[in-house]
Amino acid sequence: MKFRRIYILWALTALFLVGLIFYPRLVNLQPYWVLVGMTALFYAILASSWSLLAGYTGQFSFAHMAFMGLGTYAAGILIRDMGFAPWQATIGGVLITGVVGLIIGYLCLRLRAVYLALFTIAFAEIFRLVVKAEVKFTGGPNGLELPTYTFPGWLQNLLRTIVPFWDANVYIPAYYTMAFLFVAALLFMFLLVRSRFGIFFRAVREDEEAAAALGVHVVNTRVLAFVVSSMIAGFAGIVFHHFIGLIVPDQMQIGRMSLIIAMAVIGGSQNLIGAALGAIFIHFSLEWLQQIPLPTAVLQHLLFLNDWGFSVDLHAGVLRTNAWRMVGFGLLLMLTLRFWQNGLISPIIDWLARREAVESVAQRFQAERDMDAVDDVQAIGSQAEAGNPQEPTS
Amino acid sequence: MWPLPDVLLHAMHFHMWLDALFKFQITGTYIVRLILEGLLIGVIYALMALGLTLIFSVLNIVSFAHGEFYMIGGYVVYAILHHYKGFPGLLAIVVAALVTFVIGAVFERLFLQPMAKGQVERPSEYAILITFGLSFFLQFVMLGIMGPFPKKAPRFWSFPKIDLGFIRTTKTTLFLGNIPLSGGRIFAAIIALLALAAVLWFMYRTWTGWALQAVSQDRNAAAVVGINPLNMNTLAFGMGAMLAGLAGAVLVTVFSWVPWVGVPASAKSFVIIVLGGMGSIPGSLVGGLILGVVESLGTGLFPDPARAQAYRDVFGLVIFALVLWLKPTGLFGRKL
Amino acid sequence: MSTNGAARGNYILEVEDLYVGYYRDLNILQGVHMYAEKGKITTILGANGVGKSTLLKAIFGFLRPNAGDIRLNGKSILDTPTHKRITLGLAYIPQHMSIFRWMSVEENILLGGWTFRHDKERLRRKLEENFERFPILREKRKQPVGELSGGQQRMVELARTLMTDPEVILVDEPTAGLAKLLKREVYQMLRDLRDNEGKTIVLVDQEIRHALRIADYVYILDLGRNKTEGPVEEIVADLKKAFWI
Repeated sequence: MKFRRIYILWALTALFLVGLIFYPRLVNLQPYWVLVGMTALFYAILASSWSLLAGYTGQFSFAHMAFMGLGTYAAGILIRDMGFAPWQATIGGVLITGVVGLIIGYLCLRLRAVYLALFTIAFAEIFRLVVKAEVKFTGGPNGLELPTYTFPGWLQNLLRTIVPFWDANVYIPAYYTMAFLFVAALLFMFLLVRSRFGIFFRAVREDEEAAAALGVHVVNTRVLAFVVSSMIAGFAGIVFHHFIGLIVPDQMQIGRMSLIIAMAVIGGSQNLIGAALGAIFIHFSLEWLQQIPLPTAVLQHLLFLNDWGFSVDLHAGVLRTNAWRMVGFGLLLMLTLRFWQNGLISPIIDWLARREAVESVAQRFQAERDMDAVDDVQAIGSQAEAGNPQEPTS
Repeated sequence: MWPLPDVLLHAMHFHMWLDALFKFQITGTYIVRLILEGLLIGVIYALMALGLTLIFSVLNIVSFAHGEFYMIGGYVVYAILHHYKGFPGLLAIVVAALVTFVIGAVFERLFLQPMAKGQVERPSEYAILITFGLSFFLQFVMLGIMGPFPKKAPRFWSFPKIDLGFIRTTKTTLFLGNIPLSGGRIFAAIIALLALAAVLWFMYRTWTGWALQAVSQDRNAAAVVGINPLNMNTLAFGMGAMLAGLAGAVLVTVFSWVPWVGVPASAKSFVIIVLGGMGSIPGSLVGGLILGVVESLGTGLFPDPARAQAYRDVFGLVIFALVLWLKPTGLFGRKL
Repeated sequence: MSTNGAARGNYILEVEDLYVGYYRDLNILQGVHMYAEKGKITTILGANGVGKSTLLKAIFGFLRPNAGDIRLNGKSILDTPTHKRITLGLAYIPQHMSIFRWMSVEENILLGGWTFRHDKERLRRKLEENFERFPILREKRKQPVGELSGGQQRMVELARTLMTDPEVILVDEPTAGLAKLLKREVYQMLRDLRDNEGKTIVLVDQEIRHALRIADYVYILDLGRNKTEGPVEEIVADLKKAFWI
């Protein structure tokens, strides 16, 4: 049997899944690192659902975190004020996210892509400010508390037998729920883009008019992608924050949204899995960078920054340290966009899967010419076989 | 009945607003004051939106980093005035304008020029993401430099003492009859008006301004007459950034400044350019004034003063939604 | 028809063995040559889509040739950026109306003098010249060009082009979309430019009858290659052969 590159891909996938399952063991069940892993998966879901919209339909939503927050707040309020059980509230929250997404989608997606971007950035920021201000209703800046999910007894027992360290700390059930959601969400989106709708998404992105001429309803297709992507964000947010126990409005700030976009773009927004891996990679490297004491104080002293701002105190110092790390990722985001538009991770996946990366028109022409050349060679070959004893050169 | 958000309740009980009117809380003078305040801030909104319009009409992209130039303009003035006591404030504003111009122009050369030259695939998507990436980058650079705590530049002007009966001034406030107007805003609005006039003069009365217009109306024809469209792109982006920077520079003495102060500001500019019509200069001027007045009236008449400030931006969002729904080309839009 | 260098002295614009395409490996023009004689109208004819407009775009620099050479007055202009070519004495009137439609007639024409904008005296003189040439434009000088009729817009374009006194004018289907009466007028304008001012004109056209009437030398292109060429008399004498009708 001949070796094929796709085997490497399968092997890596298997390795990743094994890693996903045994991750809590790998970090010795330390609650902090389990939480980090769970958060990474949460961001991975957000990044890949964002790239479902951006990489497949070419529309950019800057309200992805806002939809995440919207769903979570809706669920929290349903539980607090209307006595919903957490699982009912989860469904309710996702539906509310979908309805709001539908309204915004129909408002903006009739127009050029930039309108959705413009509207969602305004919506996201203003939604956050309103949530912050409506103290009585949403808890304001202190956030809204959410109860943890309780698993039914039989499931709890089943999980305990499968995972012996299930009760080692509170984040382990959270981690596994998130991991399950991660795999399910990726599988769902993967099937969606492989389905008829996936083809519609791409068609609408490549050539709106041609797609419309072929009978694809352009606006509905875009709205579908937008609503699905927002609902997945809402779902992930609700589940995540149920385990965390609290959502604060600053979770929705534009800086986080930027980070999600950086994750998706650096991973490769044309590829759901690339975006997800990008998110996991970036989240872990941010955590890892946090372990390294960046000589911020020295740096700022050298740059005379303290003279211009104010003296460093501890809290601000920490924030600044984080800021410089984020600056690095901002720069990486811009360079990736400029020089590697397909991202850094998804080209590897594409290469392993032997799929062409998203090809440029020039490349496509090249490919067609190559095909023609092959045809020519074959034609020459068949002529040669027919009339000429001479071997065709290959 | 589970509790509705108060804003919905108030919307339902609209008569409460009318009640407030008759309870002598809201008088004609109060409304006039709100409108005047709205116009004052509207001039600055217009200045910022004009920058975005300039960028859109020449480069045909929307800069999502517009608010960050606003933020940087403010911080430059703050840093100068904080570092050199007694530095002339107007000069600090000019420095802020120069700094933002240079940052914008350099960014355009490095990241947007390849797009204009056709070296980037899917240029419209690239433009959205790269300018958003810039905003991400600049926000955190300034967070790293300036820290997260709010800053406010010291006041560097004061009114001469005037008493003309109807118009009186104290050091920091101007009274029109019995309407007090914050001097900081008046000062900011005057600078913004001067800047607006300068830009309009530049656009309509100078050769370079004509060249910018020419490039925005027909790129190829501009190249045919010998205008270098790439240079005009750089100039337009730099100027757009500069106008945002100016808006920030004049407002830093009025509002307190944090690294993400640009986000709502850019949201406002987006509302204005969509309301006025993308790429329309008169549209951005009128749109800015409209948004200023609507926000001011809405905030001033909001039944619960404690939360009124938070709802200031909501009016903009409502306008945005209405325009998208009813007339996506905006008031003066000539192309979609 | 020989195209060797015997009479090269008279050729002001020379295009040799030109390969041009919108994509790197897909050439629309495949080894086209074209020589424009000084003070003459050189007309390029051919069916739709054979690359006539592409040729002009390449000469003016909107498309970069993959191979071949373009020389103006004996010097290669391939490395001159598009917006600088006007300073070499080359001018281009594209097929689609290339006016600044929200600017006034006067501003449009003045912008033609962008390259010498600091020379106020020359600007004034050239503007005056143009208003004399097209008196109707003087009446409408303050009006936005977008409000003028198609023929007047062409006039504005031509006036703008003439601001710099170009030696060679590339004209791409100047009468596309114009009314019949106007067409004659436009061709008359081109003829006057040659006869009175000695301009070299390279004209790409679909209007074979009109174009042949004012042409001096004719090139016929077919699918990105030269097919026939010759002085206009020869072509007219044997239209059948020229077009393979």
